[in-house]
Amino acid sequence: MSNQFKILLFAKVKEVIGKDSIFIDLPLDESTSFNLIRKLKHIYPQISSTLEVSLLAVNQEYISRDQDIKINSNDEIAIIPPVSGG
Amino acid sequence: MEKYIKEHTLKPNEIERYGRQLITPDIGVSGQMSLCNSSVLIIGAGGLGCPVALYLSSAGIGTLGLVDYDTVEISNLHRQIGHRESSKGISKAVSLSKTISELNSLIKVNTYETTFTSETAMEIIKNYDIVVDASDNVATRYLVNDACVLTGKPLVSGSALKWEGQITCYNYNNGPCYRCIFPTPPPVETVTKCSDGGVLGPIVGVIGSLQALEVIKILTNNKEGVLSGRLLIYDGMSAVFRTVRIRGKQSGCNVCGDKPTVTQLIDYTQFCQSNYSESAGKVDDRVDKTLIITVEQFNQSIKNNNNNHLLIDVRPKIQFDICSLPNSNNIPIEEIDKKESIEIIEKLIKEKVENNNNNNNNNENRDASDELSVYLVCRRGNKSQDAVKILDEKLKEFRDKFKLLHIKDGLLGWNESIDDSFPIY
Repeated sequence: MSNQFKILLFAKVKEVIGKDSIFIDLPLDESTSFNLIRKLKHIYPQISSTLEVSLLAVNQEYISRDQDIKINSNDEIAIIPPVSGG
Repeated sequence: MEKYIKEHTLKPNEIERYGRQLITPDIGVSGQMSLCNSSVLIIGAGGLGCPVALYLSSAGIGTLGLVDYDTVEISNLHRQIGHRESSKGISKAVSLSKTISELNSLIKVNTYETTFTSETAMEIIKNYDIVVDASDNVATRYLVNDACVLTGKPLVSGSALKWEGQITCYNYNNGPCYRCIFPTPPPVETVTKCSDGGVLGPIVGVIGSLQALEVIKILTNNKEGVLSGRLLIYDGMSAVFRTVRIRGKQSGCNVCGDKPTVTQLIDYTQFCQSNYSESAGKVDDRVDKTLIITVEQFNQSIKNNNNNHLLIDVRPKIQFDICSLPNSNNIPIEEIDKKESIEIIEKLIKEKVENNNNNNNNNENRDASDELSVYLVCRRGNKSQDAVKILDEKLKEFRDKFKLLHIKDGLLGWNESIDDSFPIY
């Protein structure tokens, strides 16, 4: 059994992956923020360094990157890299 | 007997001018007085700085400070709506200040035609109540943040790229600062600049307008609604605004935390490994000099031996479509290491080599100059260096068949030194 997560992408990660959202599967007992980031880096190595400095939001709320939190399949997950242009 | 009673110092001309905002709920006389008695510093007089400055000057902010080292170019005008064609070549701070003075002669504007740096920041910032970050680069963003924390000023920060923008207020009412949210500067290679990725006028217009509104809210003490501890993301393409709750002030933050390690401004160009400006200027050589050719040498070489070369333009297709050199093949840098791209390049090289051999069989005077040259070009001669490294590796097996060279300074260099009619963007 696995959970499917919809990930909203912004700025640099959207540019590199070329989509504004993607779906990621994680096994039920491994559905955590750390595993999600790990899997994203594995599938999209080209965004690894951007992921390191990006903001991760679950249900429009900031998730500390130091803490591994449980995520549920209907959670809205967003990856928000810093934008510096203007 | 008095003709009327007016228990405040707003003058009749101010009441007339600001009437519509004066009667807006939660502004009123006290709000307008606050605006008129306040000072706001705007870092950057570009895409964001223009709308911020135009709205804040119209709203009657007593004193505006405009910082920008740069001068107005025609390519700014599609989005930097505070400048005019007639301002081409003059300081952006001065140009914007001129527009403002025609809009509202009641307010005072200070211009700083200088780069905002660790040396200049504190002296400038101390004269203002609020700071607006309308800059376009990472180093300035960290500098402005730290300067605001060290001087206790609220910071209204906006940014934009392509079809997207972000805005939030930092260091306000015990809320987080920029470093609480983004403690580590992004690696240089992951940062897309407006000059490479593009940006639309209405996107910076929306974000700049929102920044001006946050300034007005802070100054008129409408605390509850201030966009602090929340990051607003605008996706203009899908017409969606999202507000993400960001974490509060971090006790471990290096600048605003309990035990800060940054207690005075540092060298942010070093911290961020990038300059206090968006423009990259000339690109440094990162590849072996045997892999480099100048635009002059390239020009001479194709004149002498026009047929026996392959020109690969590694810009994104959207840029290649604007204008390209004759006989160039577009293989964008993002795709150049893919199998299909390498196959295409191998095929092109083989065709040229065969062609060359056939010609040489009919010609006794062959020499080393007959060797096939593969040239890589891009806009500034930056990505073509990455491309030369990739191809040097990927085409290892038959590297003896051709010379591989990246064109230093790219198409901008071509425009500068060879053909000034080549369109630049």
